[in-house]
Amino acid sequence: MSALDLRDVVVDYERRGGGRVRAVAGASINVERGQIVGLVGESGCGKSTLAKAAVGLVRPTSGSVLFEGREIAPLGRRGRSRDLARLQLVFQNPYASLNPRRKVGSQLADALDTLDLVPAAGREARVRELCELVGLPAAAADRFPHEFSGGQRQRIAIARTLAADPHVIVLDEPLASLDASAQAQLANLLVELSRGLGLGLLLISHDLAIVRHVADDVSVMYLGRMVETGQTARLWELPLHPYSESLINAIPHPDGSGFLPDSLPGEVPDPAEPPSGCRFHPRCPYAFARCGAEEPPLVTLAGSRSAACWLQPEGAAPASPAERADLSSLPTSNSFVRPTIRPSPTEEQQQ
Amino acid sequence: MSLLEVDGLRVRLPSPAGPVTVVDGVDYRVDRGEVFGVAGESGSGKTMSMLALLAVLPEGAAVEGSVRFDGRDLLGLSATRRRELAGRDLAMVFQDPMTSLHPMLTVGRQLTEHVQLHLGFDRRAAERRALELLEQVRIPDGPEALRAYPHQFSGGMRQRIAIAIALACRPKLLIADEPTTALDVTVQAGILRLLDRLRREHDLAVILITHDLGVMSAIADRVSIFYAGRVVESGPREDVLRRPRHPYTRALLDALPHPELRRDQPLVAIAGSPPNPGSIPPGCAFHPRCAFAKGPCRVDVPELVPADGRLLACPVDPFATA
Repeated sequence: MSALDLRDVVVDYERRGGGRVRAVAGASINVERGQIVGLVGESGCGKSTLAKAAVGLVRPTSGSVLFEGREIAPLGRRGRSRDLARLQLVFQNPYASLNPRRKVGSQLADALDTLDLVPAAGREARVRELCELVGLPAAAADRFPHEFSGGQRQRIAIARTLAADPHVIVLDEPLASLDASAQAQLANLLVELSRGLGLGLLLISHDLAIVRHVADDVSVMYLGRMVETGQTARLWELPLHPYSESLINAIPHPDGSGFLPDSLPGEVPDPAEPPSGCRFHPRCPYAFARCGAEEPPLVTLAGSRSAACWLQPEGAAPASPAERADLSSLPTSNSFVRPTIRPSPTEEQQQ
Repeated sequence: MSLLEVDGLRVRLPSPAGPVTVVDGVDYRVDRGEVFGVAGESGSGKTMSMLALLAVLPEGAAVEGSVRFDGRDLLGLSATRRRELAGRDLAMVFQDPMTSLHPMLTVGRQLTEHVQLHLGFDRRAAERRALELLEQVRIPDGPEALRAYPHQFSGGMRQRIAIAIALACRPKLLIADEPTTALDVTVQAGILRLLDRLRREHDLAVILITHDLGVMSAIADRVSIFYAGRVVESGPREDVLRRPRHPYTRALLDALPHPELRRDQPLVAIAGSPPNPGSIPPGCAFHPRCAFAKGPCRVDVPELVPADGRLLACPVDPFATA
């Protein structure tokens, strides 16, 4: 049993003026205790909505969200059950989630009071311990949020979730808007906490380089669906889905080489009107006839990898999309119209 | 003669505790068709040193030094004359295009207004120019885009529109301040390719301000690393990013995750945080965070001197190759 288990989650939003938007269109993800799972994808792909569904902030239209085997009831007026406190959420902007007018220590103590996990006499000591756990001096408890840098504030936000002795923390873009050095510190902290406390972390980030470094497993999301999941190192070495490949090729290299990253033509389509068949096919350089007609399911390949791409048959050995495209075009080249739809020439074409 | 020559630029901003030096003696050159990268953490003075060129600093700011742009002494011009120039020969794009695009005006209005004002085009000519600009930044369906409002476009498209507006009067220099920071990597790559094409096809000089050394590495020809209002290392991209010599440049690069780093190895963060402009440490401003600091580093402000094909402000020079 996974600590956090999202299965075939669908989330629909009502659009102003009528109509529904399917922000998450059937996505599954698992997080075990002590494991860091990365969730990546472009903005608008539904990753933040999935994060909200994971902690019960939005109610899935269908599918299930289980935390330690129990269904997560969406947050209602009566608060939530005590057991769910073991599942915590950290937002992107720590300044928005901390009260600027109260000392850090009293905000941490609030969390302890609410949950009553520590006897009253031990709370002050626990507050100091929480500060140290996230790499802040114990004296930080006596200061206000504005006295800290962005990275330190994010640590305070994490310390507050740790007050609940969580088993799983969902982090929505915790590293965005930090300088590289602060990012490095926070990334190290996340790894330490996960290993040291046996915490499961679901790390949602558009910073692929950081995810690559800290996550054990990674899921790639496109327009509400998972297109590939697998061990981070393997996925990076050999991305199986053309979308994962595009994301990785778009990352610049800070090595002075002058490597100009590849752009991905077109844009994430409107989730209210997803393309037919494979949702990625209008932007995919390998798309062929079937891709526009049928939606590929997420299937398991050899080496405990999964991908949702017609080029990657179930059970096959992992091979790059280009290699697969060549293989499949050999015997049945007439069925292979490639590409079906030219991506609109809005992005810079490769030189 | 370079298009832009900046010497001894100093910017002081007023603060409740008295004037604060945010840019402390900065020199650089930018040539036509060149991308000049400026990197550093937040608060290092990289943006302020650019705003000084455009005369759009906060009220009460004091600027010293010499800035020659296209042969003219920029700081000697009145602020009004300088702003005129700023709309035409010098242009700027920012991190969030929504701050520079007017949400209530059509893209067409914002694109044509500019050329009508600065170049005296009539409406028909201005509209032709606007379509040409949209084509240049690869916005599809030009005529339709002209009638649309900024919110109808995605983040990447908005940044392209902001760049189109900046290019409207055929500037010689484009200052791009974190132009891709708010964008997805896939979209970022497109904007980088666009900037790279503009400098090659239109001989546009670009100053690229970014905290992202990957972005810098993609298109900058020469780079300067800012720390606490000063340049600590400056030179050709390859030299500075491949063989960094200043401990700060080195530390910035070491903080980044890279493929060779094993997963169980922690990233190397720089100790402490950058200083506030009001309380810059004496001597080398980086010394309290530097693993190689020696006695004199705490006292003497290091000069930026030539070293191995670049300029370096570190007399200790722990990464010297010889």
